[in-house]
Amino acid sequence: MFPDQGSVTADDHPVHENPDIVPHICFAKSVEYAWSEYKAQDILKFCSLLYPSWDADFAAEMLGRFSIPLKQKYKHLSRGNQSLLGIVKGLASRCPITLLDEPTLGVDAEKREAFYELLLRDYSEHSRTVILSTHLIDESADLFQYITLLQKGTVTAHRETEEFVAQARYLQGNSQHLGAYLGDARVLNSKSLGSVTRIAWLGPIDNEQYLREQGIEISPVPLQKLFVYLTRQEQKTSEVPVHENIS
Amino acid sequence: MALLNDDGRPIFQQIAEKIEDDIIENRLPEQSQVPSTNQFAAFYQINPATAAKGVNLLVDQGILYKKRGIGMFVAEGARNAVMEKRKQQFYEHYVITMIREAAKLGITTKQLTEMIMKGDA
Repeated sequence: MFPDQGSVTADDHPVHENPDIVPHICFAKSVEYAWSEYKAQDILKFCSLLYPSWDADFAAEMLGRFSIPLKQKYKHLSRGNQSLLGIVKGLASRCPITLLDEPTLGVDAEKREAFYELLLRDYSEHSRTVILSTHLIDESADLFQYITLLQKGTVTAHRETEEFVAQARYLQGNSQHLGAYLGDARVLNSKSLGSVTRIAWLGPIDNEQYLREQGIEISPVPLQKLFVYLTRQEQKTSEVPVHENIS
Repeated sequence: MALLNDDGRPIFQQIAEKIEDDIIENRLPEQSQVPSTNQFAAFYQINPATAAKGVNLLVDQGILYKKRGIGMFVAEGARNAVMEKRKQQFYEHYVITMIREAAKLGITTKQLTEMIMKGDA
């Protein structure tokens, strides 16, 4: 891969073509075109030579758990099994920096759960930085310590998961009471049903006690919904403070 | 992943409350060892750092204490401390909520009192 712009560094060292750094970074994709003509067993043998901290026993355990056929060429594996083989590479590499790009693409619910369990177990035993990108936001939300929101190639937010979730809440109640809020830039979304209105509010709520007394219900916004609202109102996300250092 | 309540309270706070419940119900007696953060993480399918935050919340309050190299333990007097804290929260969390719902339904204070007496019997 070649950079089109910008630079990537790890511990202040440039990453690109750096033999001291590259073996300690694993980038696992959901499709690896270079693997097409090879069988799973050969691919993993190759991986074991690539990564100094490779754990062959763990790789074998995952192959069994995911029931990935060993003697089929990669290009003949199902979409889910191709993704799962990427997961095996990513987790068994035990690299201090492991990037899993859409690891659950095409993977069924049972195997996804197995992946989350294996990821948590292995991360608990072998602490490292795992960067995971996903479109299945709600089901993986609790796994993350930090959440980064990428919009058109730009990081628009990077915060601890709980802070990220806590920045927005739903207010639901009588439209007359909530009408005053409509039009405010902090309203991410609003819906009405008869005389009931629900708004998604971004930012702190000062008069929470008073609102509750007015019969306004205050409830959390699921992470995936929050992502949707922030993505739709891109201009507003600039107000979300960006966490300075990605650790 | 919905193994905890989805009521908007931070997950680390919910973990702390689960431990407090276990202390109150004597599932975790004083001086007994608390599961490790990794065990909590696996059980609730959450990030170990989040689990650690919940445990540390109780360490800061003196309800749990750390034995170096062994793990976390329930402190002497923890049960009473948790009970006192919970009694204070009881009014806010339950009584106020109940009174508000009763008012919405037109239940009078007298009717409410009768219901409590009936439930207590």
